[in-house]
Amino acid sequence: MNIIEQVKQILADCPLVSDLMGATNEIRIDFTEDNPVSIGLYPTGDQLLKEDILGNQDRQHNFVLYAVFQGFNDYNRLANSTFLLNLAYYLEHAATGQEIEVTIDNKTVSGKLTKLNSANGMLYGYQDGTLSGPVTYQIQIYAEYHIESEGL
Amino acid sequence: MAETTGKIKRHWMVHYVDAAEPGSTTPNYVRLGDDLEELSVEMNANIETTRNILGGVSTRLDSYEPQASVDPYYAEVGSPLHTRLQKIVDERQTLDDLKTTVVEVHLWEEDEEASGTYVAYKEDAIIEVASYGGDTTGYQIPFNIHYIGNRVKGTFDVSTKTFTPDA
Repeated sequence: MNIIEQVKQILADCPLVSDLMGATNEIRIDFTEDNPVSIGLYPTGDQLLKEDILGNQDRQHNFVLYAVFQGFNDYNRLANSTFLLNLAYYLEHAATGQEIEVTIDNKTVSGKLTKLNSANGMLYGYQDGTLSGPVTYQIQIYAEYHIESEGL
Repeated sequence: MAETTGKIKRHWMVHYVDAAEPGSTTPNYVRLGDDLEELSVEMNANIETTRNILGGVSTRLDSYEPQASVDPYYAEVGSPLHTRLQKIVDERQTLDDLKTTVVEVHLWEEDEEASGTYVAYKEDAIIEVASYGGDTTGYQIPFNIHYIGNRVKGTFDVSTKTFTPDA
């Protein structure tokens, strides 16, 4: 399971998400439906944070999670923002060293997820140009992970 | 071992420290480097410079006091090095209780007769715990290693972590 699959799995296992989406829906990658409720996870790149003298690396993968909700009235919008707030709290404690696989130059090495945090959870755009239709919220997610130097 | 030509990668110069209890007959070498973006052995040469009556300068280097700072060191449950460092902290150990040995292994110089064995230098050392605690990233026990001599050349088997002095 690579870092993208692992973060998708953590979100899918999050009770906040599953309660919202029900059993039939799933988190999509680089895609959201036009109608609520739909959640898509959009990976936006990976970067090296630091490397120790053994060659072990701390890396960060960035995501944007887009969620299509109803935003017709204050009640809806407060619920939507509260969802993002609670998701941010949840993510801070969701990284527990889950194993991930990293393939570099045809060599697969193991790693573990060390930290999840998020930022910029907010209303992103209107589907129909007004609040009467579906609205899209976003939250940026940063996943830090550590990979061992063996095989690199 | 990967190719050993050209510039030497940093992780080919390996530093081990013996984490066994003082007085133990069997060393327990632990490789340093996790979380360390830099580890340098400062040579701290003792240099005397004098100006002679002819106007020239005479420089004499007569000894070294090598020292390395291992910072950060994140304590890890089950790690023999953490156990050793924690005991130094808990018991406020001094003098001979702080003695250990360190081994520097040259991974670019493999023994032609024994695969997985490399040229190495072992030296007596003192562990100085600099502080303990740290920030919210984890419990840290940064420490300094003071090299105190008795430097011996030999070979080091990285699989068994054993040092064998040259005959």
